Parts: sequence; structure tokens; C-alpha cells
Amino acid sequence: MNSELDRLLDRLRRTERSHARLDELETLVWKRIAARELAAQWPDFALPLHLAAIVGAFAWGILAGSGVISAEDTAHSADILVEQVEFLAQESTRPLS
Amino acid sequence: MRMPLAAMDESEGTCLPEEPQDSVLVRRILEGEDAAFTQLMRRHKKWLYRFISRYVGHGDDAFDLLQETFVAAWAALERYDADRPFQAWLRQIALNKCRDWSRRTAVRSIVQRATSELAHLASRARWANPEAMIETGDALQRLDAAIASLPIHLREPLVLTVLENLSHRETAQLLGISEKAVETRVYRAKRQLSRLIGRPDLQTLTEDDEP
Repeated sequence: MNSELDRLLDRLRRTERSHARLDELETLVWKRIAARELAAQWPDFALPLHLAAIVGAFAWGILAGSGVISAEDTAHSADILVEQVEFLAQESTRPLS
Repeated sequence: MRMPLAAMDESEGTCLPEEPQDSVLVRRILEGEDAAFTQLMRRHKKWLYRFISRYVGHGDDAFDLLQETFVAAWAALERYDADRPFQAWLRQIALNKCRDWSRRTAVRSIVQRATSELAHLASRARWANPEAMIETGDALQRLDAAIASLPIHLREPLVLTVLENLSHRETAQLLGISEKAVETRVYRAKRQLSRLIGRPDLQTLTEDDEP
């Protein structure tokens, strides 16, 4: 077998290894553990919230489709937005009195 | 001259005579003493990082896997068998994490392989001469990368026996293969390494590449 390779492998084995953040390891691991335990508690809330979001979206779709909620109530037209932006631009350049 | 025990403690994961054994610390953790887990991490992080980094290559991936290993150990601590060395148990968890990492990065490496050829052409001349490679300071880094690019079934026995100094029997038990298989795979791993470090692109050799 390649003796040069064996020599390199031996050098590699004896080489100390470290990472710049190894001193922080304990703190980082505890943070991960805390996040994991928090996530483990969330399933109790996550499913009801998820179902509520689906029901809400469904209801919104029915109401919007039936015309109870009209598009005008919830949307700004592009023209109005442009006017607002222009107005704000003028306001911002006006000297302070 | 007597070697400082603290240094041995950190690099090998062993404990000082006056310190509690791993199994005692585990019992304390299970009784609710979180600080005992911090103590376990301090004791084992250095050798475990060394092991993981030899498997996946030096750097942030290894550090990330080290954290994952300890988090997994925390979660599985109730299943730890106190009759078994804690170090071996921890190494098994780390090994599984490294295997998962290898699977995840396998797809990435296929893409990298396709794009790396040009980047490595520039260094081709430099690595064509093994003597020049040895003289270069980063020869070990290159060897490191070559080990990380070995197929898992060859990399694991090599890292465990040659770099981690585990016996063939211990390695065989850990990997669930025969001692003879360990011996054969280490031989094949070295043969592939010899060829890999002579190649500029460090691409993983397949079985078909072997003579």
C-alpha cells in the first residue's frame, strides 16, 4: 500500500481539530433544544389554527363570490395609489415651517 | 512529564477520577438536572467534533452536525443503556447524522461534479506531482476532502479504524459488518484515496474506475 498515504493519514490522525465556535457549542445546543421543545408543544395549537385559517378562507371566498364583500371595499385602485404617492412626495419636499 | 489530565479529558471524552462518570451524569439529567448535560457536552464535544469532521470534512457542516448529534442525544437519553459506554452510544448517533448528511449532499455533489471541472483545471498541474502536494501546506486538507468524497461504505471503516483508532472488532460492531469486511473496505478505501489525491478534481471514484 502507498506508504506516503499512510504517512499523510497518520499526520491527519494526529492533527488537532477544532472549530472557531466550539466554545459556544453548549449555548447553541440548548437553544436548539429549547426551539425543539417549543415546536413539540405547538401541535396542540397548530391544528386548530390551521383549520380556522382554512374555514376563514373558505368563508371569505363564499362572501366575496356572492357579492357580500365587494372588491372595492378591500382594494385600492392603482390611480389612487399613484395620487397618494405623488401627494406624499410633494409633502416631503415642502420646507419645514 | 505527566500529561495534563484536563487536555486528555477534552480530547478523548474521558473524565477525571474526581468527576462523575457519564452514566451518573445521564441519571442526573433524567432526574431533571440540565447542567449535567452541559457537563457531558463539554466532556465529549472535542473528540466528537474531530470524528464528525473527519467524516464530513472540516467546517461548519461538521459543527452543525455536532449540534444535531447532541440535540438528538438529549431527545433519546431515556433510551440510553447505562451498561454501554456513553461514548460508543454518542458515536453511533453521530454516525447516523453523518450518514443522513451524506445522503442529503449526494444530490448536491452530482451538480457540483458537473460544474467543478473547469475550476479544477487550474490546479491540475499543481497536483499532478505527489511530491509537490506533500510539500504544500494544505496536503492534509486535500486528504481530508478526499476522505469526505469516498463512498460511505469505504469512508466509515477508514475513519473509524485509521483515524479514530477503533479496533476492527469495534468498527465491525458499530457498522454491523464482519471484521473481515472492515479489513477489506479499509484496504479498498486506501487504494481509492491513493488515486484520489493524485487527481485534480477529487471526484468520487466509482467501482468501475478501479482497475
